[in-house]
Amino acid sequence: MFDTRVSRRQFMQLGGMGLGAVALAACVPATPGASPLGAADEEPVVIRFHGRTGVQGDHFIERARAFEEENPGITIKEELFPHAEYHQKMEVLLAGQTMGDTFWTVLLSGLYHRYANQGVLLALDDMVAADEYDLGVFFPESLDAASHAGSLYSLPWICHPGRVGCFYNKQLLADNDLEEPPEDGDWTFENLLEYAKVLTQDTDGDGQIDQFGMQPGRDPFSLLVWARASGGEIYDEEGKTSLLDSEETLSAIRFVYDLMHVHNVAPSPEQQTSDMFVSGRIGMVQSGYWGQSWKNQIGDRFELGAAPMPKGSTGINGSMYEFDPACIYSGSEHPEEAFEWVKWLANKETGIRIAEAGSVPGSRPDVWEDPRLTQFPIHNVFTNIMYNVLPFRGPGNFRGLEIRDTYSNGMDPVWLGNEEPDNVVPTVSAKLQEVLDKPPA
Amino acid sequence: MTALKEVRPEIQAGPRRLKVSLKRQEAITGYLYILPWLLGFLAFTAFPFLASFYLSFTDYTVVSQPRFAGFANYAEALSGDDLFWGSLRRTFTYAIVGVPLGIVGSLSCALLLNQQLRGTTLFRALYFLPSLTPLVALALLWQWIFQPDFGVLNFLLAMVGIDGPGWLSSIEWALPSLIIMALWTTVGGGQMVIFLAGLQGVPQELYEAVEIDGGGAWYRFRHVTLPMISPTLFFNLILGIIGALRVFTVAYVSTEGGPAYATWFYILHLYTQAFKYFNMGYASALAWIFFIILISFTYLQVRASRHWVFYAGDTG
Repeated sequence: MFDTRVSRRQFMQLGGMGLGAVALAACVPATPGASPLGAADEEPVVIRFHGRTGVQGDHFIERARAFEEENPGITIKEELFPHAEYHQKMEVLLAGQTMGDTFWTVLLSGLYHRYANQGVLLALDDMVAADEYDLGVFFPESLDAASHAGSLYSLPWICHPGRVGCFYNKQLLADNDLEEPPEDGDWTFENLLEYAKVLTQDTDGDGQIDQFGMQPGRDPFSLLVWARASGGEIYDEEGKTSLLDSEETLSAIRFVYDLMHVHNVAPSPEQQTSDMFVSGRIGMVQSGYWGQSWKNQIGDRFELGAAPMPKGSTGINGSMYEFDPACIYSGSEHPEEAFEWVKWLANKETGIRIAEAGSVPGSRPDVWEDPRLTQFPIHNVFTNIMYNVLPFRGPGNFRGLEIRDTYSNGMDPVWLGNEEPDNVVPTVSAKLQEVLDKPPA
Repeated sequence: MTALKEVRPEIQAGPRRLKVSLKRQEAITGYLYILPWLLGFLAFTAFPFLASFYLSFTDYTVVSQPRFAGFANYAEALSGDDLFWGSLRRTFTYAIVGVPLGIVGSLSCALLLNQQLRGTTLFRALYFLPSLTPLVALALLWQWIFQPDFGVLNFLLAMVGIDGPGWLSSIEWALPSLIIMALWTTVGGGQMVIFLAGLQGVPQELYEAVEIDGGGAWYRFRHVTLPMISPTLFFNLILGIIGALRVFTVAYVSTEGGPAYATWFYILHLYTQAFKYFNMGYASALAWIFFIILISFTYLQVRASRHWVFYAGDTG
């Protein structure tokens, strides 16, 4: 009776039927609450989170594990991508409708407000109200920047006041009998020029400049610091009109151009290399809060100092509030759990830890005032600026990356010294206006 | 049992089989072998190819659904986009200068290495090495060579009393810099190896005949070598032009299209529109325009080749 033979064909048929049955069984959704052990033994909700690799990525992983300890019902699954391809990856995830529940994005590229405008981001107003979450803990500028069309689309994670720092080589200043620039920012463009002239030197007597006085940033956000100190802007409040060729902004551009090509105290792009400051070949350099990380490269060659960038003709220091948001995807199936994670990212401890890790602090005054950060003198220079920071302005049609490319390529002839600002800036401004006139991205 | 077989002969014969000829069986086996590739081709090449054609007639920003826009993207490219014609002109300049230099350089190297001298194998390997360098590494390496202050190129120029330019940061010199960078890989790379193979296929008796007739080296090259390797030359020319027109990586890594759009090539423009600004519909139109340009250009070259390419076995 056990002599029944199964042919190869029959074996394959039976095997196929068996596999099909298993596959069908696997497709049957689990019955909610089917576990006889109750809620305590239910699988935790998995919240996917997208962020950048590197310092921030390590920070997210560390904070995720801490969050899970506090919230055993929620698991954070980090999916981190390199900065260079981060936003392409976001678009692919959106196109494939496989976006994670929560993610990091940026303000300056215009993507944050574009996502808000296109319905990619979940408006948080209802959850904030239901949770009685206190938004008063944040810098007010954060909430303005995080809002779009009257709704709040993220909780601010980290923030800074822009490219407002004039970092300097304390050793070079001391060697040239220059006092350190005032920590309260009470100095002027003219003062900075005098400093730069003294610091610019031909140290080996070969007729070539070996040490420059000042390195200004050439990107639009660096220029904005000079422009706002002079009463100018790159575009109007609604982000619809280019103001690059306004007299105030043009005067700021002329000043930076003169530093490079009239006074020869700043390296032109052709003379500039990335390591000039840390190798002691530049006295002062414009940068943001993150410039403090130069300490690691400088080592014991010299001591790093920082002061606010100087005041322009208006008597104010230029700045622009910038923040990095933690957002919830509108298609998330677990918005409540996602909101818990976003709140965690916006809490005080996270805000302090990310600054300690080498990035910038959380968007809350209690973070910036915490003794763990105020022990660093350069941090305090930026804290003072934060309390007077000027608001964020972005292009009204969210085409920040197009604006940046148009500006950078358009202004190259100026920074290279091929053209005078007055000849080029009106043309660049017209090109910016063409971008601003396009429909929303 | 015997009686049963007589009544139902199919029992003895077993299950009925479809009669398939050997030729057809072989064909089915062959198709099964290529099936994985075929599925990959359909999913990752044919479908995106057709999808991009459809998308080129839409306004599509990835997040939103495609909206039909007719020929608007094509009209925008041809008449509304300042960077379209500029990037096309720059790309053709790069190809027109770079391809002949690459062909002449790689043919010269191949001629030298075809001399059957001592150490030829070593030199062949050395010349070929640069072409094995990944383009991103190549771009980063040349950024240092071109560095105005302490780059090796300006150092060497300074030794002969020349004050070198800013190279990649100079509006005038950025494009020539990228051409030099590309030549470093093409002169000793695949083109040279293909030329070498072509040269080694030239019958020796033709050279002997020229020698008997008293022809010199130039005469041998002009009237024997060049006609005999003309199919190889044609092949390298076609691939060289297509490769040059597709220039992207070196500009993306070294200059990001700058300064002042000096190295903003067509494919960089397309990439920027697609993956930076997310104007996928417009980028698809740019891709199709480029496809048409490439096809037309290649067709013209094939037509022109009838007048100068010599195929030894061609009796027509």
